[in-house]
Formats: sequence, C-alpha cells, structure tokens
Amino acid sequence: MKSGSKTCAMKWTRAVAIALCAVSASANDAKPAADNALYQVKDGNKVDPKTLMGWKTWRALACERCHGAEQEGLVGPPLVQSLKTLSKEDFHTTIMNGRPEKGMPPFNASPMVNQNWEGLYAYLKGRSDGKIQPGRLSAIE
Amino acid sequence: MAKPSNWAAQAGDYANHRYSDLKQINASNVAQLQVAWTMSTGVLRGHEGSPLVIGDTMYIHTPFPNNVYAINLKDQTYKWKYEPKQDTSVVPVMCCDTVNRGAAYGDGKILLQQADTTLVALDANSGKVVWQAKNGDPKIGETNTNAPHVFKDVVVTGISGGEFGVRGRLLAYDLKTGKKLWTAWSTGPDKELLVDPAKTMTWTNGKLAAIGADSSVKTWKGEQWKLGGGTTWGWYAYDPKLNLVYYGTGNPGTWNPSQRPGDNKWSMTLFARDLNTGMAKWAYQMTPHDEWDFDGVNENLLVDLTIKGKQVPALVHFDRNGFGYTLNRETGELLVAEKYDPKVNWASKVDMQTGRPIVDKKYSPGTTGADVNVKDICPAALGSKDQQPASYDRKSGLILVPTNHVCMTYEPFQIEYTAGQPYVGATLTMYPTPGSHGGMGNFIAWDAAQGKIVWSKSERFSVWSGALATAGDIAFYGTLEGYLKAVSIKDGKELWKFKTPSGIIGNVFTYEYAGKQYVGIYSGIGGWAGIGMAAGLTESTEGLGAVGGYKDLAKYTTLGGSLFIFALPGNSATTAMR
Repeated sequence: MKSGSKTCAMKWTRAVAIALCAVSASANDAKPAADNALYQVKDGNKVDPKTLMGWKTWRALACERCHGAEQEGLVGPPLVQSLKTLSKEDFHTTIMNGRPEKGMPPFNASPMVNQNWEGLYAYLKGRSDGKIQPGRLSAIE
Repeated sequence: MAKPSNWAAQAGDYANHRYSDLKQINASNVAQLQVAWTMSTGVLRGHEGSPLVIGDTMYIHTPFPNNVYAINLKDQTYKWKYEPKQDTSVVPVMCCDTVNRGAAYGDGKILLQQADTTLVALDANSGKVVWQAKNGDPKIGETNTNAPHVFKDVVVTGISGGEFGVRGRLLAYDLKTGKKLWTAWSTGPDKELLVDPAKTMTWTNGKLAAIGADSSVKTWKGEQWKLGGGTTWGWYAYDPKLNLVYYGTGNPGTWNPSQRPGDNKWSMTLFARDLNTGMAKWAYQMTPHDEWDFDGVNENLLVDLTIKGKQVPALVHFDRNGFGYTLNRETGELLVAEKYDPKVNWASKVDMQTGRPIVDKKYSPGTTGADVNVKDICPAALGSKDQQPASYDRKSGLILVPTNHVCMTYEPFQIEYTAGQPYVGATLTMYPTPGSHGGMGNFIAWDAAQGKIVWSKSERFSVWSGALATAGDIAFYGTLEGYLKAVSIKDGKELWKFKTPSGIIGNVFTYEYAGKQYVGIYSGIGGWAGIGMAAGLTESTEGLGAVGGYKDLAKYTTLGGSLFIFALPGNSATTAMR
C-alpha cells in the first residue's frame, strides 16, 4: 500500500484530488465529511454506506473475474489505472452498455447496478486513489 | 478410432483412456524428440483440448470464435477453413476465458460445439455445414466450452454457465440428421431428469437402492432447482457393451451455500445413462450441498480392475473435491474413495456406507455462514484436478493424473439472481498449498484398485494439460510455463522437455503418418488456471504475503496460440527407429 500522504501529494494539483484528501483526513478523525465528498474512508477498510454498497455491488457482480481481486486487471483492464482518467459519465456509460466487443457485458439489467453504480464509482475511485484497501470493507461505525 | 495411427476422438477412444499403442517414440529415445512442424491458430486465448487426426488430415480448432481448420498432413496446407460468425455478446458471459475443448468425428463429419451453444456438423472433406442445432440461450448465460462426443451414431453434448444460474442438462442428437433425441436435466422433476424412481439406482447405506420419487426437487428450497446449476461441460465416456454414457454434473447455483439448503441433487453427480433413451441407470452424488465449488464434471475413465480378488467393470473419477473414486460402472456401486492429494482437508474421508464425505466443520463455509471468511480450505475451488484429463496406461494399469495443489479462502455472501448476470456469491483467494513443496501442482501415478498414489512429481504451477500415456512406456503432459514434458511411467522420472512459446492447457495427442509417429500439443495459456486462478495470488489483505504466483507465471509466459508437432529425427520410420 502507498501511504496516504504520498498519494495526496502526487495529485495535489488536481482539484478533485484535493477534495479527496480532505475527505480522507476528516474521515480518519471520524468527523462527518463534506456533502460533496465522493467517499469517506477510515483505516483503509471502513467506508460510508454508499461506498459500502458500491463494494458489495462489485462483489455481487463478480467483477474480479475479469478485473482482478485488487482491480489490478486480468482479462479486463486494471481499474486502479482506468479510474484515474475515466470520467463519472464515461464510467456510467461503460457499466450500463458494456463494451461487448472487448468482453465487457452490459449491466443495465441489474437492479443492484442501477441502484448502486455511483457507490461503485466511488469505491473504485477510492481504490484508484490508494485510499481504500483491497478486500473486505465494513461500515464506518 | 480403432486404428492407432489416427487420433479420431478427443480421448483417443470411448473409454477416456488417452492411451496410444504407438511406441516408435519410447522411453529409450524420447530424449531425441524434436519439433517437426508448427502452426499458428491465429487466436490468443486459452487452448484446451487437442486436434483430431483421421487418415491424412488433421483437424485443428481454436478458442472463440471457434474456427476449425482441416490440414493436409502431407504438406501442412489448408484443405478448408470453417470460421463461424458468432455474436460477440457471448464472450462476456464466458468470462473469463473463451476456451473450447475440441471437435469430434463420426460418419464423415466433424462436430463442433460453438460457444454460442450452436452444435454444428461439418462435412469432413469440404468443411460445409451439414446440419446445425441450438442447445441453449447465451442471453441467460448459457454457453458451451465442452467438446461434443460421438458415441456410435449419437452426438452427445452439454451446457456451461454454472456461474450464471444455468440449469444443466445433457443433450443427444442423431449424428446423421441433427435431430434431437433426448434432453436429460440435472435438476428438477423426475420426467425432466429422465430417471425411473423405481429403477434408477444410487449408493445408499452400504447398498444400491432406487432413488425414489422427486429425488431432485425435494433437495432444494422452493423452486431453486430452476437455477440449479449442475452443468455438463466435462469429458464424457461410453461403454458400448452396456450402452451407457458416463458424465458428471457441475456446481449447484450460487456459491453461497446458506442460500440453498438441501443436498441440491443432482448437482455434483456422476450419471450413467442409456445412449438411446437418456434414461439414467444410476447416479452418485459426490459432494451433496456443495460449499466449495467442487464441480463433478471431471472425466470418467472406464477400466477393468481387480478389486479384492474380483474382476470389476470399473469407472475411475478424480473429482474436484480431491477424492479419487472407483465405482462399478455397470451398477453404480461405490468401491474406492481416497484422497489423491494428501493435503485435502475439507473432508476427513468418504463414508463408504453412505457414500457421503465427512465434512470438517472448520472448512465448511455453509456452517460458518455468509460474510465469514473461511481460510486454508484444501483443495481450492478449481479442485485437486479440474477438466485436465488423466490417462490410463493399459500396460501397467496406472492412471497418470495432472493435478492442482492449491488451497483457498472462501467467503460466501447473499446474492440475487438476474438473468444473464453472474450468480456466484462468494469471494475466493487461492494460493499454493501451505506446508508443502511450494508448487501449485503435481503429476501423479494412481492405483485405482487400491486408491493409492504410486509416485508424485511436483510442479511449480497447476498441471492444466491433459496427459497421454503410450505403449512406449512414457507419459506426456504440458505445464503452465509452456513446457511439454515426457516422463517414465514407471517412476515419473523426467526424460525430455521442450519449451513452447506460451503456457500449455491443451491435451497431448499422438498419431502416425507415413510410418512415423508424431506427438502434438497446443500452446496457448488461458482458462481458469491461466487467468482466474491467478486472480487471488497477489492477495495482501489476508496476511498471506506476496506469494507471487501470478507474477511468477508472468515471468514465464504470455498469451499464445500455436500447435506444436514433434517427432524423432530423420525422414523415415526406419531412421527414426534406429
């Protein structure tokens, strides 16, 4: 795992990243985060309810079968990398419509994805940012 | 098929022996084996199965899009190519690899089971489609990876999709016309199972007894049998004397056992069925109420053994669950069930009275329940052996078995079914068996009458390649690093190896052309071993450290797609035999 501060420093010039770092810091102090925060994380493996549902969606749809248990990429691309550049809009389009020619199925028929795709985006962003650890997550107490 | 010069079926015969009487290449000269010719398949995915050889023609198949090439052995030119147009939407539901285990031959036709569930019969001379039939619907996750099998004048095929809530079945078609003869479901009402409640037998309480009415539906909660799994993607066998087809069924729907109470019959089951009617003569469930994804699809080798002084028409099956089973193939009587990897720990043994495994609660995700991570279960979900078929040496009576030596953590979780979406419900990590040689595979010789390992040769990675034994007293197999190896059947000593460009998950085959013996193998990594299995090997959250399996494999190999054909030096049989 990269250290949190290092990840922050690397992305300091990006407005989004600044916000994330701030969120992360406040979460570590177990204080409520800003309303516009993408995700909250504590100790690397405790997250806000929306992000938790995002991870559960990742798990239920067996995304790791193609993208790897740590989003490191297998047959599918490494999402820890992809999410550094993929916009939320493009993420939404991809997960709903898939990329059938590349082997990515459309998930628009999945109620779980329809309900939780934003949480899933937040989870993957957190993984990509190095803020959320791979593996099992639980709710912030 | 009767001619040893041909390799006219995936297993070389009906009995799944994968044995050849050819002995030009043998223990004393195999060290001189060299490449005779090679060919690209043009596809970079997992290459399972093997080509077929009939007379002067070799038939090569590829992973998705499932091309078939007929090759003139005289000069290695193409006679014809069949390149089906399949909807690419089938690829995602095959996640994560698009393997195909090969073609079949009969009545002047090449049979191909395409990924999109189309079964096609091609004219072996021209490659033109003679007939085609459809087995299933990819939109609900139904696909095919299995080889079709030709037994007499019947084509037998199955279905994949155990991770998509597919309801498994075996299907039979008329070889001449493609007319469907019967469908035998793995789960559901008696009529659809093709069983006779009073006559279909199973091993219970130390004897064979009729399975009784509603044997499947009463072992499921509500109508869960409709998503029951029990898919049929393995290698089938046929006994012409008994007119019985043998095959196994896969895991029950969802890997979260708490969600589907009951024995979940007839998932994880060996079936013996009449070739003409599909009616089951007997059934034996190896892993009732699966909690580990121990599919029962592995091949059955039909061999005649002497057990406790009695001659028995036997069937030998190396299950994913780590037990090597020997049954009487005529009656279904359970004779032997012993671990073929001593590190198997999920069950202490199989109770020979009930035929059921004695499960260790410590390694039972169904006991610990959802959202609990159960650690160090051996074997892992891909089993002590997966589809990679074993070989029976008719001379020594030994069975040569390519195996996995991998353990896992298993955490089940609640999951809802959506048609066409994965229906798994468990998170797994896999790693080399702790407290062993550090490798993830073994190549073993097995005594099926005793249920004992005779010798075991360790391998760095799972041996995911089908074995071949020959009358030359040698056995061949491939490794995930890409080596094709020849070993002495007597003691497992390595006699020769050759590094192909990519990892090997195909099956070794042999044939004779113009008086010379050839041995061949596909080189092209993929399948669960090459991709899915590797997923867990960098797991860092569970304190396993960097076991490095995945990174290790990447050091040795990458995707490929080629065919390698080997022979002894020299241009003629005489020089080769010198």
